[in-house]
Amino acid sequence: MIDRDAWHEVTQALLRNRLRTLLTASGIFWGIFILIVMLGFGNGIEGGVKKSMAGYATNALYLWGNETSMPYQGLSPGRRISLDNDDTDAILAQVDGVGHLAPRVRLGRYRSRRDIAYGNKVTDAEVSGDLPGYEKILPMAIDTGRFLNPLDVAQKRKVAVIGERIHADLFGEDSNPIGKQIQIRQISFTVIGIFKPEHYGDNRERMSSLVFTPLSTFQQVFNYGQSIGFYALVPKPGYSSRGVADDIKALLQKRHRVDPRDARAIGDWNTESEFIRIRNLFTGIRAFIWTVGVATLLAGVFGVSNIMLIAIRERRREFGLRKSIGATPSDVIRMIILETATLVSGAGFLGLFAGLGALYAIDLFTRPITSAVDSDVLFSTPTVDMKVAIAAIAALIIASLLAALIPARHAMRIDPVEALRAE
Amino acid sequence: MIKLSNICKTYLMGDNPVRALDAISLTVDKGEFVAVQGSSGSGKSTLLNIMGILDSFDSGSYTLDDTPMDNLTQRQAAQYRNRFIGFVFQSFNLIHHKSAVENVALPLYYQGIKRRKRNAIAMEYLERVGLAARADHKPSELSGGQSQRVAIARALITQPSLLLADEPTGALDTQTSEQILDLFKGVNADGMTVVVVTHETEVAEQTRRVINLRDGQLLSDQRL
Repeated sequence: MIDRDAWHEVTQALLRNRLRTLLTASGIFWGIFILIVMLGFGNGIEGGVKKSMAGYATNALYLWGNETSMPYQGLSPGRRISLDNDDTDAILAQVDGVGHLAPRVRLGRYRSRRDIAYGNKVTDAEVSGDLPGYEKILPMAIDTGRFLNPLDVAQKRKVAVIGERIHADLFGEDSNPIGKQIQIRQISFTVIGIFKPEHYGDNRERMSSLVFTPLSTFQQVFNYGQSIGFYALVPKPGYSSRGVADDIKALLQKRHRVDPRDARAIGDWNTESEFIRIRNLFTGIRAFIWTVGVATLLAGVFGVSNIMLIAIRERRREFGLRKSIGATPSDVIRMIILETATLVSGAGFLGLFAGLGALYAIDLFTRPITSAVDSDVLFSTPTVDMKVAIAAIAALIIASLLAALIPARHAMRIDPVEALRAE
Repeated sequence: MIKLSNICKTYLMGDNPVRALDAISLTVDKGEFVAVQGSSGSGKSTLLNIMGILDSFDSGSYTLDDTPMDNLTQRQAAQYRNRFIGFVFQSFNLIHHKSAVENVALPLYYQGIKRRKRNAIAMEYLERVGLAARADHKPSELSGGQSQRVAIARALITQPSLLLADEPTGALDTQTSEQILDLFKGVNADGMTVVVVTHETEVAEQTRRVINLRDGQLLSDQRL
């Protein structure tokens, strides 16, 4: 049906009015170009944000005790709820869906006190008491040594896993600190491991200032008794953070005699909601991009349809003649559709490649800035899913064929007697 | 060859119906050279368009080469036009973006003949009208007489049994008109039926049968 002769006819017709063909095609070209570049940028920003969130479990959940805000069972409001090891046992025994529970205690806050020393070097650190398995909640890489193990906890060993910044500050990056004694508030701990956080940007510095010690050791040497500062946990697969959080809150409220309606007494925060919020944001952005892109493309398609109508009006005589010498209606329709499809797909693919080229150039210029480990720029390599791009062009071609139907009908209905009448 | 009986055709001019052809009956035999004359509005062009299956008629019957030409689909009409009929128009109607040889070859495109072959055939016909040297020229580079000769070559290339010409010399000077008429005489001598619509008596005089129309009716029909 579409042979070389038909192509010859089409290219001849399109090349006849080069400027107009170019202008018509540029509508489609821009539509695809803008869609591709916008999609690439959207993906770049999404990638950048995702990278900045690397290192957080996407479904982590945090719970802590606050002050009560309601009187309950004869107890007055304003009572401080403090969690302890018994709460840990109760949660593990009674709540379903807890994947990994990390009861935690912390000394100081980020960049507060210069608590940690080796020899004559002193630096600040965020020291915590933890159980083995916390690395499942805060993903990290341990290149040297190991993380805490159950024996450390059982024997209340004075051991510490230190972040890479602490390592660098106290020992220098090149020396091996494993087995060395460091002082945390004048108490000696043996370094058993160094970790690298999986975070990027600002968070990386903070996360590499952490020092992990066994929970039991921490509670004893720093006089915390049985106290737990807060819980970090990840639910088992298939359980939602929200649901598990509600179950644990209900249990803790019962154990600490808190009014079940008291929303303030037990605080909680989960990353799942945050991630869902961010995911929704990007779904919204993507929907926006597609809306703008498709609208731009539609404008291009209407433009093509319109120009084809004008072209057919101009070529009335030609179509009249073609009919008089034997062009059947289907010959005429085929010719119009082929002309439109050639114009649109040619412009579409040029737009696609120009868009990909632009993204490549953008990546080339931004990569030195965005790919640095401590980069705060929320942008990574802008990419476009080729399947999406090809699908967009296929949809575009179909749309233009539909748009070509109206001009084709016009051409088909040209009455040769009228078209050929001498002026 | 052509058998028209009781052909009527009315069309609307604004809101007024105009009777273009009023019960025309006419027979043209194979190999005739006929001129159709009449003042403007006499229906001569309508008659030619009906003969060429470009136009429909309201009543009556038309057989071409013993084939009835009523109730044809558009597709059938196009195919009959392609195979049986060659058209020559007053304003040549060449396609501007095609060269002379491509214009001549166009009817063969609709027969599905490959480009190389049809252009070769088109060259033969251009040679016949004396324009082989101008084969690659665009219509804008041709004179009126040359353009009409290209158009005639295009009309002849399918070897039609009927050649229809609507004022073929209307846009040409006397000397070029002569050349065009000579071409018509030549193909007629080879046995092709030729019908020419003209208002020029000098043209009509060179044919062998003159039909006069007035107000859609046959006024006279004389063989010379």
